[in-house]
Amino acid sequence: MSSQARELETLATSDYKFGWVTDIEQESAPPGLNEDIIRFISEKKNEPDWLLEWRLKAYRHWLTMTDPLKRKKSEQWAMVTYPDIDYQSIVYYAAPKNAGDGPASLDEVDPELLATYEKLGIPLEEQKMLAGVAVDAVFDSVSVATTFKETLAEAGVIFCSFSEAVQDHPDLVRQYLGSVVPHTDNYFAALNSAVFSDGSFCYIPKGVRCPMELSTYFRINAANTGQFERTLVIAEEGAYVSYLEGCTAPMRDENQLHAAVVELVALDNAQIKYSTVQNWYPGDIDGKGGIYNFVTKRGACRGANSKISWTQVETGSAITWKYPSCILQGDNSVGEFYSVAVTSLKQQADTGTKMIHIGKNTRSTVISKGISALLGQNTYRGAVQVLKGAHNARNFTQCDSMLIGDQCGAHTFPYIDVRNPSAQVEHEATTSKIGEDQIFYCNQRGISTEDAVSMIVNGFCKEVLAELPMEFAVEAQKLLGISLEGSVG
Amino acid sequence: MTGSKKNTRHTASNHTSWVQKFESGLNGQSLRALRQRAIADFDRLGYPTTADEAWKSVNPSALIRTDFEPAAPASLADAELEPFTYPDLQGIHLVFVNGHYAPEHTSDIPEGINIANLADVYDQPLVKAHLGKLAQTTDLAFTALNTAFMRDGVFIHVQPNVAVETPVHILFITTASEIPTISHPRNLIIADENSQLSLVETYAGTGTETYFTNAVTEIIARDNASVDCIRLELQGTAGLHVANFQAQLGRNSRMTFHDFTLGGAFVRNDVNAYMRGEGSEATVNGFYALEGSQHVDNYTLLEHAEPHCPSHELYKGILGGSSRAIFRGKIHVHQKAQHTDAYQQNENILLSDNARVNTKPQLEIYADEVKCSHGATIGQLDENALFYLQARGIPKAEAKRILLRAFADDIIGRVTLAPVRSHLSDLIDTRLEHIDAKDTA
Repeated sequence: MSSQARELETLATSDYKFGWVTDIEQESAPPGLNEDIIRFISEKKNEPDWLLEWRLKAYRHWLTMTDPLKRKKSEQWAMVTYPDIDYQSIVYYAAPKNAGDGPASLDEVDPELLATYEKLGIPLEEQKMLAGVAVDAVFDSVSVATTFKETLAEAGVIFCSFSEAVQDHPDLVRQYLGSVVPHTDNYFAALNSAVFSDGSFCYIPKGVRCPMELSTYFRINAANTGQFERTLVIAEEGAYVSYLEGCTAPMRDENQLHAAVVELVALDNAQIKYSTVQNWYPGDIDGKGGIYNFVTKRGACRGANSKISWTQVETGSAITWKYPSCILQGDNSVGEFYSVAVTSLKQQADTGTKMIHIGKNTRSTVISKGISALLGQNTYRGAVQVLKGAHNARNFTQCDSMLIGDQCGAHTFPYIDVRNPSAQVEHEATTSKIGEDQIFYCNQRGISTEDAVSMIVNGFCKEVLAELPMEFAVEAQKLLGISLEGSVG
Repeated sequence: MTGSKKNTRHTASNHTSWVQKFESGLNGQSLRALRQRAIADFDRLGYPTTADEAWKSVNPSALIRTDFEPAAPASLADAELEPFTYPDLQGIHLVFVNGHYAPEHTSDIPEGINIANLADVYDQPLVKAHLGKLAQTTDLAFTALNTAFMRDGVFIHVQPNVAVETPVHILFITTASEIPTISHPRNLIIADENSQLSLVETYAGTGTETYFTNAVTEIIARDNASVDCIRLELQGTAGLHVANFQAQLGRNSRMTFHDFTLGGAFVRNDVNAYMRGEGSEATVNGFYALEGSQHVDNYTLLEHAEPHCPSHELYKGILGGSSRAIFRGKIHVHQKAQHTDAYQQNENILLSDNARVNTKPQLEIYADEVKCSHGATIGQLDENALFYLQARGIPKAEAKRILLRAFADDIIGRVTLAPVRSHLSDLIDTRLEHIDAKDTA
């Protein structure tokens, strides 16, 4: 027991490896939320009237909604607890000051900022040459630099910050914004629709296979800010894109809210692969600080034979509340969800997916691996719906949980709703732990306990990690190791 | 009158006075505090709505919109009870008609077991000590209603070290009535240390009109006790049935529960097995075969509070017509409950285009040294198995029936009381033929 206490102590005092603060002058709105703030954001971004109207409509709707925490107890479903969020103390807009006009090239980006990304291990310039990954980096609320724009433009791919897209491609934005996640969807999506400050926009034209993997890196830097980014990815007929997203935040004692919305649209024969590695600051062992990650992610397989695949590795955040979903509208469309969620320290995760089968012969696969350590609470919550017209729909779901230590929890809540007799739906879940015999076996062969845990956990998650693009897979494996450091005594 | 009208039309003080009036019609008021607390809880909770997590995808409006009157006593001839009894079952029989005890049907009671109508024994210390302790009213509206208006039901106390060899059969029957009626059967069963009891509960209705049975059963199995329960739901075609079954298991005790739902327009079953003693074992199984617009909701909780408790759960269903089945099962493993071995499974076969299944098997686990798994399937009959039988000269319709029967047999076969098993087997055969004929027609 004493060795475990010691481990806890080292862990509690050890640093969150991405917890530095970048010292850049910020230009921000005063804290609080009202119609004026929304007008301020909209004006700052020089937005057209329809967008301002859309924001205000969302805001007015948000005012009529009940905070999920304040619902009647019998109506609350999420397995998370947190103190009330004071929406009036959040800063809804924060931008690095000299990014006012937007950098034309990497050279114009504040060197401090670039250094931040160096520390994170995503050197923009290096990636430009080596990895061939185009990166749209979002710093707090404003997109700082987008690399590889020209290369992409040649292929006809539009990849830019959301604000730019509003200026340059208003018709596309207007057509698709809110078409997958309407502003009425849920409390946090409504809030995001009202105050979203930036994000990424991506459009792959008909028949184009995006020549490189697209990537966005999010980081919350300023204190008391919330990050409300909005991502919209559209794959036209026969298009293909692989999109990567990574996140970190500095260490702060107070909680920060992150309420993002991601919308994906896949038309006939299009494919979108969306990968996330989320490593927001998780708070400390006493549950102090950390990000509230309340995100709405949804993809619509609108066309026949389209496919949307979500892969996520969630190791950070004090609270994760996120259900990347697929609406399988087109006949023969395919939805996939691969997830690894780690909760250690005092983290809480309530995450999973929704697969809504509407079209004929639609198929979905859900593979979820949850790992809980120390005081972590990990919940898989997933819905599979087969609507009446979804003949021959097929779903396979597997949820495995691993518990490390006897203070944590692992929960599985699948919701299955089938209205078509030709559907085949299967769900299975298991719960296990790392056996002492497994550790002993490794120790005996000269492998340290730490390495053994990392090895076993990586093996446990293999099916999901294999779905990640190469660069991310390496990072994800390391992250798993770091997150679980000190959890086995 | 018994608080079953739209709650918007009623005030809390109204409800309290109803309970008082109801109570004054009974002999004795020893349950006053319990009833008052229950009605206060009901007033606070209100009727459930679909926004409640525990009632999601269920539509309880049939239970709420109708104005029910308390069911009046009626007498039935033995012949009228026959369809709901088991011909070869040599047991202790108790009959309740419209929620009222019908002592004329009670058979001889052997030694070592106390059996009484609950309403006659409110003052017994055992009843006082345990009634309402397991079936809490704080968050279950219908259990609160039952507690406020409970009257007759069965009280059983099996004395320590007694194995009751004759099974106890309790029949709750509702007769045809022109106006919708409601009854609140309430049972308390205590199996003392090292005792053994086998119990069969049958809920049935003879009419085709709407009525509402709101039953609560509390079972306490003390250390090393063994309790087997079988429950048959044979409510009438328009019968509404809400039942709460709460069992608590002592050290090294075991409890099995088998539910068979064939009747009723709306059925909601809460089944809760609370493993409070180390090494106790719970088995909860269920089967439903539905047709027409039947709506069946099984809500189960297997709660592991102590180490070394195994639990097993298997619910299977066959759905025809525009029927609807909901299964929500949860395995809850407390932090202390190391070495839990729990398994939960729900399997469904959909036979018609309009049938619908919602299933939600859940695991909530706070201990690490555990083996817990669950699964759910929704599908059709296995094409290959069907083909195999057809290839051997069995007509398709017959082959289908064989496979459906085999699917059901998985649960029927687990019933240990032979007379009940064979009767059940016949009932389910008839039902399957009926569903199948309707859906292929």
